[in-house]
Amino acid sequence: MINNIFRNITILKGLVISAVLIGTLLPASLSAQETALSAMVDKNDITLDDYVLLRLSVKGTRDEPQLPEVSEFRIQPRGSSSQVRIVNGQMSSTVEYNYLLYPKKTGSFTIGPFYLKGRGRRIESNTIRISVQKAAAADTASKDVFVVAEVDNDRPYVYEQIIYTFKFCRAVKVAKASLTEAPSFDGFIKQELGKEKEYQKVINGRQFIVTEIKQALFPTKTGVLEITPSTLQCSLVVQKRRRSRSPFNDSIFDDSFFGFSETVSKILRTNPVTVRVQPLPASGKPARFKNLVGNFKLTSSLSASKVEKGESVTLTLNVLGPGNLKNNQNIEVSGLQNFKVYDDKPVFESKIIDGKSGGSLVIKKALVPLVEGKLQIPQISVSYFNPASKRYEKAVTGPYVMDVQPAKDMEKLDLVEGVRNIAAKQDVKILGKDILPIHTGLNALTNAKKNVFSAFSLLLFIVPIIIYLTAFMFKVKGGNKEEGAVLARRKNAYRVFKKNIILASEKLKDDEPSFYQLAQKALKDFMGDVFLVSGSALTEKEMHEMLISAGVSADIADEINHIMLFCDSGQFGSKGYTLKEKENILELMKKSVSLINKKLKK
Amino acid sequence: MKIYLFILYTLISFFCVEGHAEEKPEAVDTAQVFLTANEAYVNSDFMAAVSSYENIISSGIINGDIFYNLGNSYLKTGETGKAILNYRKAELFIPRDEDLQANLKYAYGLVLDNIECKELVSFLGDFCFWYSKLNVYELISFFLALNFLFWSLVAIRLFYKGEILKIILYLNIFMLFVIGPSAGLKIYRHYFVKKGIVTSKEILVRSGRTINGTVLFKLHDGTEFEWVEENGGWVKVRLCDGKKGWVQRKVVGCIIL
Repeated sequence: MINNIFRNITILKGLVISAVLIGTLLPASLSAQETALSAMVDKNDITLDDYVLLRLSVKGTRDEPQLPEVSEFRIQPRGSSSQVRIVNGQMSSTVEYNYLLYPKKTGSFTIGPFYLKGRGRRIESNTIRISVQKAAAADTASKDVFVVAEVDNDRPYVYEQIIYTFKFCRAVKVAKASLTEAPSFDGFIKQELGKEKEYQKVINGRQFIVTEIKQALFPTKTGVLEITPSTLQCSLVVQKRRRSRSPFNDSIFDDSFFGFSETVSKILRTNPVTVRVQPLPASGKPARFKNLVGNFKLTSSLSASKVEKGESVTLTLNVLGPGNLKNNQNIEVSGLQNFKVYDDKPVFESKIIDGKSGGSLVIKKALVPLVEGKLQIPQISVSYFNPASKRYEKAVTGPYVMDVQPAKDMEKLDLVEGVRNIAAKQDVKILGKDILPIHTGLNALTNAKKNVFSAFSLLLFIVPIIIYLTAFMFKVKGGNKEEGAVLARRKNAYRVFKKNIILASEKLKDDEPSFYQLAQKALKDFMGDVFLVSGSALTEKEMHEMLISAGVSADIADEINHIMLFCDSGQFGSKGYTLKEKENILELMKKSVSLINKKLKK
Repeated sequence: MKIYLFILYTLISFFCVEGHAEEKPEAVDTAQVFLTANEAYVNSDFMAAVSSYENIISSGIINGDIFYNLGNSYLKTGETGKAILNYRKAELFIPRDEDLQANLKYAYGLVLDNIECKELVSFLGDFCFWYSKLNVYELISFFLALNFLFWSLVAIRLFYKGEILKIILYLNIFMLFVIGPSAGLKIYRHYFVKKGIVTSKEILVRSGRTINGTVLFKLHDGTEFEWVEENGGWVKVRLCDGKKGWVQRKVVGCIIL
């Protein structure tokens, strides 16, 4: 049992050491391996609807190869794989990077060299030649999947609507599909024509599912216009080929549910569509023709046919039909000299009419009659070119006759006049929208970009702090001096007192008053030093109050008071004190001052 | 005291050295190019104007007015996305310019995508007017001035404790609390939060960094998004309503300078 445990530990140790050795030696041995880059493709000759698998093999480094600009192909990365081999103690690593190349045009192209960058040198791969042919046109009938782009009329008049149809037909399952390159409609105004449709259709005896997208195009210039091809990328679901007959070789397992199918990526491209746009005929063109092309009907209505002078009526015009009405919303109504006309904003509603893009345009005009009587609103017409009949036509409506009555009375007339004046103050109408002009001042050429984290900013941030710190230090130093002097005076008070009292003791035996003066001075100086005041000016009463307020007992304060009176009496009184009395008062003074000093130290 | 003087001297020396080390852009007669660009714009040759303004920017001149003019030129050529991109760059320098705000509003009106959202920062921008009306340099200068005033006041108060000084100090502290976080947020958003603009008519936002990735949704010219990361020619985008996906780098522009 114990042997087994030891054996397991030994194996585990061996594994750990091997892992550490591989981990430490692998980078070293890899760096010793020569770095190389090679490129290969799965095929050199393809058609436009095919693709090439490009494999870049990198040896001796894990750097990703760089791709040069390849305008003839669209490159799509397909992941990478790596291999590490140890042969005879020599270790080698290979990383393969895969790409799919989808051709954009036909021709013979050389791609590469691809290269590795870094470590101070550039390693290049071989180049590859790929020939791209046109896809066989006759294939369409036999293909499982194809796309078609067509227009319903390839010789339209300018501004005439044509329908561009893109069809994606498939007879097999498609996992996913996306339009990778949309067609370019240069020279056309494009309008969406409903949502995409999906239906089934039998083509050459095979049933296809067709997805159809339609767009209405309005050519804006004459000549030959080309709609560029659309490219669709899809993944087809195909059955996997089995090499041998297996026990599962039964039709039930052909279903993709059992995993015997795979997806194949495919690129489908439509042909370019050429449209030859003709100019509109010059003959019969109306004078105020506004390039309206289509087939339209014009209807109108008047809100009232009998009004009083100054009142308004609304004339509503409705133009309806397929054509380029969306871009021509201005309809002129002439012959309204007897009316004041207020235009409302036209309202256009897009509609699909008979499978074509068109709409309904509603224009409202508020008419205020300026004169009384029978006023006529003349016939209103809209000129357009009808491509079906190939001639200019006119949609007409009206005329209307309006009976304008005089205003009922003077008061009403005044009111109408007033209202008209107010009506003249109408809101500012926005006639057009545009951006404000450019800035032309030469100060635009000064460089406004600054470095926020510059040393200058840092300085501005730090300098005031330094100024404050300097001021603070200055303040602290000054304060210490002052405080030091105060503390020193207090600290030295008792020492100075003792010196002074020695001086007084020397005069003890003299009859002169100098003993009393010196003794009193010693006491006053002590009190002055302790309480940080001028001691010589202190009176007995002040000393007593100061001692009491400092927490000294009343007995001691009284004794101090007694000593002061004794000294005063000795100096100024006629009574002389004996030596004994002087010695006693000196002892009392020493004792009292010592107690005060101890008390105040606490 | 000597130590403080030494620190001050070192900082000043560092500043002086950096001042000399700044590289000047290549000498181009930018004034002439600028006048040519303006003339081209006035003569409705907007493509030429775009080219000239781009030349000025590539010569190293970064200025709000140039970005504004370039935005105008792009808008006139019908490239709404590039116009908004340059207006937004101009906004980093001249946020109070009324012409810029009017044109930016006009350009936003041309954007097809309607993404309903309200970011906290844009709310702050409305509420804290100084945040949206001052550019990052102005806001930082304001903050530094307040900082200078603050330390000067507390230094004076060491020696003189007047009532008026106390009121001024309290006002200063209040302003610092308002402007300091605003400046910090502005620096963060200016330097570390990337915004992007769609610069193609219509782009497909995919689930991954391949052309085979599932198309999640479409975006149109001029739509703004958060630029999350860039990897191998693809950019991860996030809309303010939370939608995410990958788009090709070439069809979008980044607002950060």
